[in-house]
Amino acid sequence: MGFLGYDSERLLWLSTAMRRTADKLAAIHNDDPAISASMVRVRSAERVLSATWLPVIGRMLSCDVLGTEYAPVHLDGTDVRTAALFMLQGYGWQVATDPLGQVGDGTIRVTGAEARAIGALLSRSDISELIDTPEELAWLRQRLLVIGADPKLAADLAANLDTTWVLAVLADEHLDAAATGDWTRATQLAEVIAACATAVREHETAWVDELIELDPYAAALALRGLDLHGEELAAACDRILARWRNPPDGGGWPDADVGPTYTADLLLPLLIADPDAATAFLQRAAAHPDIVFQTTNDGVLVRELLLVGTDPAHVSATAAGEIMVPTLEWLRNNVAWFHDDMIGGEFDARELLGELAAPWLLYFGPRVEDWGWSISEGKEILQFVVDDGRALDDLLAAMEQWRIELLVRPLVDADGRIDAGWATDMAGLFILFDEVITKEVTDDARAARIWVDLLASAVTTVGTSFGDGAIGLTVSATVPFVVSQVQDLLTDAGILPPDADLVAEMARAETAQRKATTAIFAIVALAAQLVDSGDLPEDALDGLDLGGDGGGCDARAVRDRLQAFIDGLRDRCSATVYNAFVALLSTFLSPDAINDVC
Amino acid sequence: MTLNPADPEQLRARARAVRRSASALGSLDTDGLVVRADESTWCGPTPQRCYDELTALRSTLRSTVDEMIEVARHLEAQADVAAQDGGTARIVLS
Repeated sequence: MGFLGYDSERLLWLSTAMRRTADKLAAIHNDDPAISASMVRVRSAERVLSATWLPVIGRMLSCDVLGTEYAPVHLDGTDVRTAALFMLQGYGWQVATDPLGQVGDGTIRVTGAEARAIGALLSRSDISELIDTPEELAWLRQRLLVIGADPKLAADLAANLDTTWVLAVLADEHLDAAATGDWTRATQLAEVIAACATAVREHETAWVDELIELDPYAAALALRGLDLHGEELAAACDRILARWRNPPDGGGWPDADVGPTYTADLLLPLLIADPDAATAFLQRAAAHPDIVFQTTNDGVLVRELLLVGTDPAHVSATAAGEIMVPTLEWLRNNVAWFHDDMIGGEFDARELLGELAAPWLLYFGPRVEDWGWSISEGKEILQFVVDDGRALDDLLAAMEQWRIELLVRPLVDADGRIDAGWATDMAGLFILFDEVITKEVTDDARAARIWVDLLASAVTTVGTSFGDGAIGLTVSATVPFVVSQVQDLLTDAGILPPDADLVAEMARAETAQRKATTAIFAIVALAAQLVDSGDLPEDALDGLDLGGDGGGCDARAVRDRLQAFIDGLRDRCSATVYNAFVALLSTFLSPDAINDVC
Repeated sequence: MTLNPADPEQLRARARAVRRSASALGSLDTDGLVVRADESTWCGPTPQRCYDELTALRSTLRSTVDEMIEVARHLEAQADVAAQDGGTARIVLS
């Protein structure tokens, strides 16, 4: 049983007009067979009026309510679904039960009066009482969606809605529901808030400015209904989170006290879903990176935001630098002050940095000046990154991608000239990473084990890439032996770190091995590319033999063997190709580098 | 009355009667009826059904008026042909 409302005087006018029309219809007589079908419709219309609607209206107007289905009632205004009738009741309308529908019948057309009534009732009543059932919330959301789709209805709603206050109270309701674990209600409230914001967005002046004045949590919930994108979304998120971090009166915000979800938990998913917005937001946040790292305890969200916002697939190196440089410098200075008693303390921001830095490693070394760092600054920042075990793991994994890049990207152009810039970049990248790892490895034996595992994998990759041992690679037993010893020590010692001197010795050995391995990669990659392009005969790689005694230093032995291989090609290729090989070997494994490690 | 489709006078008389009916139907203030039934008078499930039915009724009556006028035109045309052909021609109403 639903409710209906009526203005007695106007209903009387309707009744009179209906009676007059029915009488006129009854007075029309014509038995001409040519219009018999038309006359059937005339009679039907007359019956609709006189037999159906006039009796209904008559019962209401005669106040003969006893025993009828249209019994008078008085609404108390505690159900948002009767907002329109409640307001009309206040204007002197009669309200009665209605047998034709249920309270909150969603099929009933939304009127301007109802839109205005919803706005007024939400703005002046106890909202928690108005929407204390799932049915009321569902009805309100559905009504708001209809209103939002009609500019005139939206204007009616906005005219009576105290938007800021209503959204803030609804947000409090949402927090209460979330805090008590009532996620069904929390979800419904979030949907209502979004629908409300959507409905009034065209009728609020300077809407984003209005949002900023809200409780940030309410602002975040409302923002989800505004369908903002790109720079506009980024700017709004930046302002809301900045305000969240700096409450105007120095106090806290409700969500900061209640949790378990925070303002940032609502906003970051919007940014993650919009890569341009994510990048724009991170660029803005570079001025105050705390809004990224200290507004949520959800490290997964922060990780996704950082990865999406700095994804090389859609972010230029310049834009990435505008984000990475200030963000990493801020983290280096502040991460030690993160505690688990503060938001952002439940995840280790450093663990995210390996994945973040991996695609941009060139800008920590060979291209460091593009990001405004000095060479030493770039190295120090990368050192800070690899100082975290998880970040180091991620970077080591990323090096595999760089090795693949080295293998597949052409090192020479169509004329056989080496791409000196790229070769230098790659050599510099590996040298930088080697230096950083070497330093780190002396402090972290676990990393040494990882590196050796990776090294073995890399050598295997080269061997299998060219098949059947054609290159004749032999891996020195030195490193595996040393590492084996260290691993034994680690096993014996449990989680205790191994002897520092031993690890340092191992690291030096690995340095030589890594330089040699990288040089092998570069030379083999170039040779393979030249074979493919026809600039070298197919059997050219057969002449590469890396076996034998290196005189106590693998790197020196490898360089000598590579030089011999290149010399062997001198008469089988053009002078340009030969010079490319010489330049590449010099880039990756120069005599000075040999002297450093051997 | 026995209908004679070949009698021009009878056909014209029928046409006049049909036009009178159409005119009476067309003079009904169905717009005013619908307006008086809108949400400024009453609202709720029953009022909405009433409004919807009155809106449909208005549309039905308008098309009924058009149909009646068309019938009258055909009757008049049939009367003209019957008068010219001495009552032998016939127009079949569709």
